[in-house]
Amino acid sequence: MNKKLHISDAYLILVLLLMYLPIFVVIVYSFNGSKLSTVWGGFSFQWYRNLIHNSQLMQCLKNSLILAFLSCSVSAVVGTIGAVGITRIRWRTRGFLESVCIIPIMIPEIILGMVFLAFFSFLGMKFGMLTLVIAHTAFCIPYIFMMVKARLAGMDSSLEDAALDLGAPPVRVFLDITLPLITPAVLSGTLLAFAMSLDDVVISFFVTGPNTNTLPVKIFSQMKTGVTPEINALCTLMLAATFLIVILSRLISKKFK
Amino acid sequence: MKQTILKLDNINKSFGKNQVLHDISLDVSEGEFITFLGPSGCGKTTMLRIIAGLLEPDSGRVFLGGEDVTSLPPNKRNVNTIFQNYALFPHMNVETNIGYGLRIKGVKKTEIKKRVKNMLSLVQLEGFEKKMPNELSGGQRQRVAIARAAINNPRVLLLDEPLGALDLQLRRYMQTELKSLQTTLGITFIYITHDQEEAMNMSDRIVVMRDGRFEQIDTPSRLYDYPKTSFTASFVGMANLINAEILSTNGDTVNARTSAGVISVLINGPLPDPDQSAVLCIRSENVLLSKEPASGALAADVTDSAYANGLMTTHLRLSDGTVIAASKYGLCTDFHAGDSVFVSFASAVIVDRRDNNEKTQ
Repeated sequence: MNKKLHISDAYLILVLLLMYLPIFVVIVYSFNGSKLSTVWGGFSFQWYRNLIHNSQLMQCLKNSLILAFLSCSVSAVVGTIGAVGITRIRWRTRGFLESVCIIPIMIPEIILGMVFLAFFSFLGMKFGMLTLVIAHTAFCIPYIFMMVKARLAGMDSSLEDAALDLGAPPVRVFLDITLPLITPAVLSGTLLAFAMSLDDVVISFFVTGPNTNTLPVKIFSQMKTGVTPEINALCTLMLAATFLIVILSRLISKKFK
Repeated sequence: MKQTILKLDNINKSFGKNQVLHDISLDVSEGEFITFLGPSGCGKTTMLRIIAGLLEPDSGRVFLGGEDVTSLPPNKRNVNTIFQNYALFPHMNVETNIGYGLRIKGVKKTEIKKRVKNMLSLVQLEGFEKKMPNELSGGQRQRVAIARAAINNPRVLLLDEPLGALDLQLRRYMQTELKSLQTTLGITFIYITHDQEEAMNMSDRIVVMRDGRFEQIDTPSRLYDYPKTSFTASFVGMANLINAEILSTNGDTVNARTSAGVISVLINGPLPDPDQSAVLCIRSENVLLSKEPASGALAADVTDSAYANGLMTTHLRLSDGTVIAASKYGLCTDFHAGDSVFVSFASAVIVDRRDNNEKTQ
């Protein structure tokens, strides 16, 4: 029997611990009966109850969900159209255009936040949900764009030719053939973007208004006054939501394979 | 004389600097089974895409039933294509796939169902309505693709190497299937292949293509018996091409000097002029072997022989080093590798004539 612990196994466990131990600690403390985070006061749902009755936090959660929903809806449409459009371009600028569409993911968030702040101030826009949605849409588009583009690249182009050949005008070809085939990519891209939007702090911090605090921004600002155990509960809930979204997106792409 | 259904008029097409079609002109009559035969890269698929409307020619016109359709998009042409990889819609079942063209035209659902059922029985796939394309075998997908195209009653059906992905046995079977389907439907078939056997078995006429030009357009038998060029001769069937100097003609027989000696051979088709060089195309079955010398026969050595499909093929090396093939039906054990034999030729055709416009009779 080979029970030796290989270096590679140890390495894997170490990495996983590094990634998930802090998360595990937060989850455990969200069920802590004591108010002090250093003392274990028994298992309790107290902080979850408090959380539900904390109208301020609940309002922030609502804002975050609305924001994620709106920005993802818009970017799903824009990103998909962009990806479909760019595969039809046969000229040399295509590579350049693709990079331009993906770069927002790589620009440091703090810079994007500054840029949006300056831009919206320049336009004299009132900071609030609209500026949030615009900023979030901008960084959500690349996720959907990349997913859909990859799917289209693997699609047999003769399928579209066949539909045209059978008499379908280009719009029908898109609706009947292209769209159903890229739907899984659109969905999984959108879910990914949803998760990104839901936990964004930096960009939101720059473009949010006085009445539209999002949940991550709220948590961040509470850091100054110290983290309450309610935040642990909230984090646990958001973690659960994120995992759910990831699993859902995996299932979708698997099902359509 | 049947009516012309498709007319190509001086089609030219280039991709960048590479001209793939040169002045292509052709008339196809109604109900004809016409095959474009050529090696890959000869421009046959490009031409098919131009007929389908998926590509626009740089110059020249396409007429369908007398109407100029050159600038019509594919969805407005009454032409359907069977694609090389079938291009069945993976997210639709067999019934929806086949009925797609009718659905686009706005045909009633009950009517579509009925016609799909008829079509399925025609291609012998009864009961396959609800199957998805990935549940079908290659041959079944092929039939669905045919049904999906044929259900729209196109004036012309374009087939882009549709049997290429099938194994040999199924390919042979599908050849007869396709031919009988074409007779049943009465639709003009334009078929593309690089497989000469497919072309010979099914076509009414074959267009041999080479480097974006038509090499020869003829019936399969004439193509075999009277090839006009050495390319056609060697692409269709086994051919021995021998350069010769014509010495004299005597009726239909000529005496010619080859680098391996003087031969005397019957010429099919137009005779060459004396005192000129010519390329003789001699089919392998017209090469006769004997152990005895005769006038007009050449000495040769047997290099190898093989017996396949009832055909005995013997390779011979002439005194100048030229290797030629002789074939004969039935097993023949008279000649072995290393034997010295005498070769005479029953008949030949002159190919690569300088005056290419001259009609073969």
